[in-house]
Amino acid sequence: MKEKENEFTSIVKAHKNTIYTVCYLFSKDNDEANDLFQETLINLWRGFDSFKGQCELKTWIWRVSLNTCLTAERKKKRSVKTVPLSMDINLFTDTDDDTRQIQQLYRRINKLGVVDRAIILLWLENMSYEEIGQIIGISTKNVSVKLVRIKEQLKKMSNE
Amino acid sequence: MENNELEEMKAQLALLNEKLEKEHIVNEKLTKETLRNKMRLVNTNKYFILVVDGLCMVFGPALIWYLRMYNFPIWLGFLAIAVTAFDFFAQLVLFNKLNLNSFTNENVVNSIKKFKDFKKYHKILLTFEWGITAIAFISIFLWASQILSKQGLIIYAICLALLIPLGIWSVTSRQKKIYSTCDEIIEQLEEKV
Repeated sequence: MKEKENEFTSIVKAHKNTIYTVCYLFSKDNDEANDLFQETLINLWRGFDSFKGQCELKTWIWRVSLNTCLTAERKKKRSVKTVPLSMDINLFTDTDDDTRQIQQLYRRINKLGVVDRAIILLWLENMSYEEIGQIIGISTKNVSVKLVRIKEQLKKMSNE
Repeated sequence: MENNELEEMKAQLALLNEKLEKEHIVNEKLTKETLRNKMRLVNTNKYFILVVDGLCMVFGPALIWYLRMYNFPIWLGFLAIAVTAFDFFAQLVLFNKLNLNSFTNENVVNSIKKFKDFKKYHKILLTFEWGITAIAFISIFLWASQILSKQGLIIYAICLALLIPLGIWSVTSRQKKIYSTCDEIIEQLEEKV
């Protein structure tokens, strides 16, 4: 059990940027980002035993993170939580120059539909069309078609 | 889309990665989930011990009544049942003091203390019981030597030689598992302090 935990901890530490980036870009506020982050980590932990290297680790992490965010249900009433987590960072309200740049990225990507958001994010991370297709669950051809449309959409939005 | 806009987005994403690189994760929920898994292991062992003790208390008197025909010392029978009953209630008290179901909501320092106390008192309980068990086995052997023939005594000694190590291994391996899980939990909780 201890070995499994140590292994899982080091994997999460190595990929925390990926996980948190996905959660941030699929959230409306800091609380939601943190909730999604926790849910993703728990889903990764639960699926850890059954992940037997059927795909690359990076692909699996992306897949679980994106699935968690894409299928997250919004709670109508937010219950009062004790403070459980953090990445001690608030990308929604911090005002330093770097964060403003990141918020600009957030605003651009958030105008897209959820699946398109996932695709453009993976593309920006320099993933191949094949890898993107594997993670999202669509064909490589479909990825290229969607990317063209997404880029057109982003161009249209930036011209408005 | 203009190339420079895409490049801008890539640069912004790189900035985000750089920012996140400096951050650390502390995930209480995940820590609690792993602790809960460990507690389930301790709970399972608790129920095993209590069930075995319970069965001994139920069937023990009947066995002693039967062995009475062979001049089995009644005092030994009562001692065995008394020790089993004592073990049953002592283990129940110790595990309940640990309060396995609510510890994840408790103050971390209290939880660590509870686990350390549990280990300490459980070891004392076992040491006491091993002593009584050794006396019981010697007494049974002396009783058996009076009623069995030489051949029967040899067979009985061989059976004991097989059963005693098996019994010891069963008890100690279970205890080792509980204690090592407690140690892991204490270590995990101490990281939070």
